[in-house]
Amino acid sequence: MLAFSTMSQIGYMMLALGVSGYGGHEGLGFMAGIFHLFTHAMFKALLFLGAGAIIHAVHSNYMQDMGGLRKYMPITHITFLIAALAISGIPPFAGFFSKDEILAAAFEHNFPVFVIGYIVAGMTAFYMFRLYFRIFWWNEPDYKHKPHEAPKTMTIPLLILAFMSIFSGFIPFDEFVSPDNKPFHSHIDWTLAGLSIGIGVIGILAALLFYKKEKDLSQRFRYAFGDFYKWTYNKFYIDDIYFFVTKTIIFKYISSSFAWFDRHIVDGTMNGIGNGTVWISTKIKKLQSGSVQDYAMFFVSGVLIIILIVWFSINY
Amino acid sequence: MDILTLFVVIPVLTVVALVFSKGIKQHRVVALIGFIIQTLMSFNLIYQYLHERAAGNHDVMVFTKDVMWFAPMNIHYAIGVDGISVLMILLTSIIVLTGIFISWKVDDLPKEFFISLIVLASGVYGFFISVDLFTMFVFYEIAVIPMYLLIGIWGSGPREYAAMKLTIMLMGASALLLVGILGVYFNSNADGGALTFNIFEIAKVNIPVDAQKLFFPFLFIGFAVIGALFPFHTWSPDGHASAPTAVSMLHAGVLMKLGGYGIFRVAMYVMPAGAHYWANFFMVLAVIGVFYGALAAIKQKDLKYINAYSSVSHLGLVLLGLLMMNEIAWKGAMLQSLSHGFITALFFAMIGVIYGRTHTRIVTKMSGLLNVIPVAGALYVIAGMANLGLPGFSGFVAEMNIFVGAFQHADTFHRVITILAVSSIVVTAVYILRVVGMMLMGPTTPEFKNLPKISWYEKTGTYILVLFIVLIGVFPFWWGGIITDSIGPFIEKILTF
Amino acid sequence: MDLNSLMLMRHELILTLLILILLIVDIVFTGENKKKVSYIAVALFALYTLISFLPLKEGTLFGGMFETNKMISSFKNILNIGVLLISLLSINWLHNKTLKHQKVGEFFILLFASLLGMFFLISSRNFLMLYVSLELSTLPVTALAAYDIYSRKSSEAGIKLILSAAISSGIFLFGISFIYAAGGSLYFHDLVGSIGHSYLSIAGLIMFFAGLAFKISLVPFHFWTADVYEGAPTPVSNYLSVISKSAAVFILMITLFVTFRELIDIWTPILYGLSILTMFIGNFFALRQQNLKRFLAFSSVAQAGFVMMGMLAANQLAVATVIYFMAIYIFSNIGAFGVIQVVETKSGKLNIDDYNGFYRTNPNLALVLMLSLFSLAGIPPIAGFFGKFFLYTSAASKGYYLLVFIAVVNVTISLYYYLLVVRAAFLRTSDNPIPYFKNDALTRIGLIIVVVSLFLIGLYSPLYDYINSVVNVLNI
Repeated sequence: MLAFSTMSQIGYMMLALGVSGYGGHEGLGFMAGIFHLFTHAMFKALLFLGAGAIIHAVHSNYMQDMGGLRKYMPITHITFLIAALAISGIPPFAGFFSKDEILAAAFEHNFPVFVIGYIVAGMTAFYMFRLYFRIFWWNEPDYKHKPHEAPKTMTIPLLILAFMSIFSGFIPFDEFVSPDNKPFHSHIDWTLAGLSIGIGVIGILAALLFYKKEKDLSQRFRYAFGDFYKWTYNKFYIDDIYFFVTKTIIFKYISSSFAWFDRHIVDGTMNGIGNGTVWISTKIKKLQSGSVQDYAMFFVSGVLIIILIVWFSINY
Repeated sequence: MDILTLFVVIPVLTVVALVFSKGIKQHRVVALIGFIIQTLMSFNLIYQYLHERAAGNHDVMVFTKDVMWFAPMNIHYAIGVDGISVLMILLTSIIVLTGIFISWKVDDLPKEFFISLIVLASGVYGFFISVDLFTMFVFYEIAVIPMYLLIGIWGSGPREYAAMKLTIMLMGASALLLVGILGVYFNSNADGGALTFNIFEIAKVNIPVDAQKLFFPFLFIGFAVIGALFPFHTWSPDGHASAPTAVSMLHAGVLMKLGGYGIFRVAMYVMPAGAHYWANFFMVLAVIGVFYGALAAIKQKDLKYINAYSSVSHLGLVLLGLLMMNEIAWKGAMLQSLSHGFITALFFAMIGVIYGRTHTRIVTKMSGLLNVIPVAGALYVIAGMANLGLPGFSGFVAEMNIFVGAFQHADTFHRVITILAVSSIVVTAVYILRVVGMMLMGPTTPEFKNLPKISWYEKTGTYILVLFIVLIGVFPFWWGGIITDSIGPFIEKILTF
Repeated sequence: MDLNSLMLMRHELILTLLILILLIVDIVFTGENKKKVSYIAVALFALYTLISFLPLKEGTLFGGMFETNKMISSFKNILNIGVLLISLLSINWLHNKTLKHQKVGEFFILLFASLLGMFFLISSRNFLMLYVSLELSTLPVTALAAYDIYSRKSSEAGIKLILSAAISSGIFLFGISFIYAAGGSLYFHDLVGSIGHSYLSIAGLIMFFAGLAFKISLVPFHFWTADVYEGAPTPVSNYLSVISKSAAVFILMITLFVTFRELIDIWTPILYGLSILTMFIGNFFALRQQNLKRFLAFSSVAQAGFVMMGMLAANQLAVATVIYFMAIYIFSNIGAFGVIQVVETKSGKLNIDDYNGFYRTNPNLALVLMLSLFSLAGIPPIAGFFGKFFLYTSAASKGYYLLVFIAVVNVTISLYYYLLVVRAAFLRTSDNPIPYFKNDALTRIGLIIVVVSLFLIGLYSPLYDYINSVVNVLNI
């Protein structure tokens, strides 16, 4: 889940780079991309570490085995929330600033891209909070061991990263990074910002609605969307395509045939040269009959043949 | 005695000492002492070399020595080293040393085992210090022949077949080499002057272009067979699979490097016109080797076969780098030679360690070994990561250089070749991770629940190798610098002929 | 002709004296004392070998029929060492119980008589002299081939050798008569420039060549080789494979390079073709031999092909490398045959498969065998490599790169079958290996000399330099 989210965020950065163009004030996009990379590193690391702490606590990778963890793991809970807010672009967390700048850059250059980016921002908020509610609120499953707060070695990095996720947005990044190495000043366009906060909040509310408690609302929603949900549930089958390509095509057909080719054709040729030599050797063995008459015959005819060949080659 | 000849003399003395030692313990100790001395000598050589360079000695070769051997044919015992050969000598000494550790437990004819190993090593040392083609050829063959005994006597599986095949193919290659060497020799008086086998004397001569075109393939293929050029690589999977661990290490780690080194130092250096003429053709073969080796590795079940094909693939990169004809790619090729030497030696060492415990090398028969022999498993993973070019290990630095060099050619042909070669990295990741996943992860196979821990000698050997892999990965510029210093003459000769 | 000039044939005179002494010694010692004859023979021969190293004048005798110079005497010395080694190694076989020591003296007398023939052969500068000495060298060997009267194979070998040799001699003489007809003389030096390109002279050359090719075992004149080598007692096969062959190569080289230089355009393609044919046929036959003596017979056929390749250049380099190669070849083959003979005498085993596990029971002998075979195959740092490399160099110096390539392909094939023997001796183990046995001192000395020489001749370059210095192609 988190890995997919990373893909989406990297897509965001690429989007930013794509709309940036080069030079001048248009460097906004470039700067925003790098900025987002930076902030994203903070809160995504936080999310992964949080996930790690949770997995450590419940000994499972699957969301089905989690729920209601906020009581058992308060620190993880809070930091995870911060990260989720940050990634959803809620001020004053880090994600807000960088994402806002990307959207601003997109808005200036390419409106459809902006729209896609905008919607995706909402979806990000939705899925992050789905995760959040699903893990920390939701009904408790039957834990075999009572979950416990992660050890200090885990929580301290969580806290540091949480701190960074909150405040790194205030770093005047535009001072440091620009395509032409000249600082320039960006400012926050509050209309756009409002819009992006809005979509974030909508996403969060939707997630709250669906996943705070175990309800059948999400189920119904699932039916309503039908195939699309199924597709998304299967990650648009991209994994299956990958698996098909790697497992079936590369493993089974290409590399098996390469291995076969190597063993039988290439190596076969090399061995064939050797075996051919031995074969010739068997075939000509009869020449050596052991009878002196034959030898004498070979001797005399050898002399004659050489003489004839030489004579003929002199004449012609 | 000069510093280089010692590299041939010390092994000979070790052999003598081994002949007079009695009992397996003495044999081990004598062999170990011999190789420790050689390792120290190789460190000293690097130190002396850097010292010499720092002191402003900018000769192409330093520590040169030239003794007339067969005067009527102007054959000399001529030796000397530059940065590249110094590093190769270091590689050799390290791998032989670790090989001794890994084969600590050889109990069948241990004396003969160590002697063969030492003869092989001295051949390799001799090859790397030679400046005279005749001397070089002599040492080349000295290095190849002990392989027959090493695989044949101490090997496993179809050892007789593998040993014979390897020896015959490599000797067949040396036959080509010989024709090439004679061709060069009899053209070395093209500008007047005497016939000579000395590489640097020949390099001063402009060998007629027709002769270069004719004889370059002989020298190239002759060297490339031992560098596992497609389609002459088939000795390598069988040979490696059957060889005992130390021999696989030495063979893949060092002996196969003679190919790339020889091509660079001899074939390309003395016949630049031939090299340019044939580069594209051999580049195609090299890239086929790179890609094909990687793909063939995926499907193998035997760990050693996987690694052998991986070597085919990675050494294809060396050839590719050499043929790319620019400084960065050459540097990359030489670094790749070094790095692959250490990595593949570590790989084979770990395969030996695992095989010594499970008595199988079939990947599908093992599972969850990481739980049982964690150190060995981790080392295997390190070898794998280094092999697939993870930054921080040596493989990354080397391959990066080769690809950067390769990308400097803007034409479609080179681009296609480069992209194919780069994409082999992905395939490499597949076969490495597949093995790691199947063999090390997952539930432990029941019969392997109680494997003995990795022993001290195995640890010593492998840790040394890991150290060097990391050293190259972390300090690439130090290693690269030594190579770059010595690439100058090659650039001068090959690129501006 | 005074006594001083007779000293020009010091080798031959001393050898004749030695034969005479042995005849007397052979009569004196009887019964169990017969054994001592062999020691006396070897001791005398060793002494003679040492004496023969004393410097010798150059010159001709008998109106130019007999010539000696540094090159010839050096070659005679090489042959002396070879025969000395064969004698040393043959004693363990001669003292074998089955032979009953009855004819120990005869063995050495015949051996030395044949060597005497060889010496006259390589010194002769007249075709008649050449023919007579060729017969002198062949007839004792045929008797030696049939030496083991208790073995039918030995008798068969003797008969086969003498019959084949008779045919060969006939054609050889026929060729000489053609040459006389074409050139009007039998002296080598008179013939230079007077042979001319006539059908007669060409046919004469080829028949003459066939007669020597028979001794060298070039294809298609080699058929006797395997049968005779297999049947004859191993020391005799050893002698045939090295001494007899070397002497014939030497005189062939001199006649072709000097007398027939005019016909160089005729014999070059013949040598070229026969060289390829000989290498391939020899190797192909050797590939599947189980009997080690037959195996070595075909291997020596193939080696002859390499020598022909080296001769092609027809210059100083060619002469020097061929002599050098023959010297190395003598040691290599004596080593291989020596080990086989020792094993055959002690255990009666002669097949490659019998050698399984040989190293584990007799490591030293196995090592000598391996080194000798590696020398034959041309693996450095053993001398054979240097010999072969120089032969290639010689051929390549005249631009015969294709032939060199064919030759190196053949070396690879030959390496395969040499490795088959190494495989049996080193790689394999056997439930019934050749048991360990101790060798007598003389055998050990012989084999040690062989091994030391195998390393020395190659690595110690002054030996080659010396050979190169005594060769003077204009003066042959």
